[in-house]
Amino acid sequence: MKRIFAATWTIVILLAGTATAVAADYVIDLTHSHILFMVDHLGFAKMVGLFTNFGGNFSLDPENVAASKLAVTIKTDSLQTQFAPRDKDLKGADWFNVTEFPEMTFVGTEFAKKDEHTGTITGNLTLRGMTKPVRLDVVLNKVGQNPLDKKNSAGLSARGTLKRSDFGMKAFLGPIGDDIDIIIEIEAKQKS
Amino acid sequence: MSLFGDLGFDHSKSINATVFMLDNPILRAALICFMLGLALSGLVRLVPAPPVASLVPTAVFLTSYVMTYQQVPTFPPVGAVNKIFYIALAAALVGFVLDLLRTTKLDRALAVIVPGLIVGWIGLPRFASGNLDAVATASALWLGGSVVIWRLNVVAKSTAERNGGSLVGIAMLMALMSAFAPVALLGGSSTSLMLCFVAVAGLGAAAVWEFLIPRDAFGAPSVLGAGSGFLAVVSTVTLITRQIDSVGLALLLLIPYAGQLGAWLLLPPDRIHGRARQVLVGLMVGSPVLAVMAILLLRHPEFFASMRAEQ
Repeated sequence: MKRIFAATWTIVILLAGTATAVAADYVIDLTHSHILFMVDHLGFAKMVGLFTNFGGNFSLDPENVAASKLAVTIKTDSLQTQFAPRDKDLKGADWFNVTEFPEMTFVGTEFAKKDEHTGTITGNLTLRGMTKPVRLDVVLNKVGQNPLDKKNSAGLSARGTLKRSDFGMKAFLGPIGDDIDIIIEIEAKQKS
Repeated sequence: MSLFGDLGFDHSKSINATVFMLDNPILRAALICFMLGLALSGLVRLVPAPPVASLVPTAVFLTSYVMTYQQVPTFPPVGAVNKIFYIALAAALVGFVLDLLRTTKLDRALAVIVPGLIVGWIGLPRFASGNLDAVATASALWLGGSVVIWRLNVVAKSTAERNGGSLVGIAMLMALMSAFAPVALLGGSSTSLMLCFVAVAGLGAAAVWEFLIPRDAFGAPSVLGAGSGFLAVVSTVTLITRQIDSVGLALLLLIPYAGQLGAWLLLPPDRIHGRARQVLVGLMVGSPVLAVMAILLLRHPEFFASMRAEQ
């Protein structure tokens, strides 16, 4: 009897364990997430900018990565580069045009796993009314319970590059680089 | 030690200045646009029809746009910046047809309608969101734009003795763009500053030719084309980038009247006439540019100090 009880309990635990590994929906935790970009300035150094207001959610299934989902919306007006006149310029009609295009979005379309922790996400980035595919190299840092709030969380780092000229931002090409390095650090809480 | 050092002339400084000009993207673009303006203005003088010569200022403006934004925008245009190109192009074609037809009947109506259409199209996304501030700003822009187009038209179609003619018309547009350039920089659009600066260089070349061989090269295709392009840039910075210094912008309205006022006060027609009068009126047209720059510096010293620090 004891053996039957122990076996049943083991199955229950295993099933529970499987359940946490199966698809889970997450909401981005803005307080522990960052979206930065870098662009070459005259070949001397890279200027760093970031967006402070964004949100989104993703669905992660470690067993079936291809079925994952991702949608992120960034408020373009939240752009910062540590220099107010430049921020004003970048938010203006010539660059991010925050008045006409207050949001940029990234929707994942293709999820590929390389190994246990790394993979790629290809998605459609919509910026200034133009949509182009962008690929991100992703590291799934950790999935588990946050020891502080006891909520299931997932953390990932993503890196990628896009060309600003693809989105119609061609002014000062040359002195200011065309390649934009993207640095993303995301912490997300599992939806209850 | 310079080879010419003992003659008191440091040749290396001259070379450095040339290298700086070619290295600086804005100066390089301005130089190219100036050369293009010289070539086009010279070539059109081989064509006897005035409307063709009048296309040069708009061609210069469109070239400045392409050199600044490094693209011909897609059609239909997405966003205000892309609309600027097609506004200038379409308005120039309308002006070209009007000049071909030799009609002036529509001048007054177009001075009101064209700025209204420009401001309306550029500001549409903000009107659509029911923004009353945007409507008020757009109304002021419409009024100011109508004054600019009307005065450009009056000056361009006047005789050299009366208001200065085409040469002063070109000078007026150059002055408007020169004065708006720092307003644009302050308003969060370094790109518009570049566009204006490059266009002024090209228009300067057209002015040189117009002075040497007058050809009425600032007719309706120029007033409506380059003038509308300029208004579209102003509307974009004001309504879409939304960081404009309204005092600096309002002072631009001195420019359309500065030449006339200066000539009335300082240039008695019986004493100063002909080319000399044209040049002096043209210089007077540009005099408010310095006033605009001085007032912007006084109003925003910290901004310009930070721009210097950035460089």
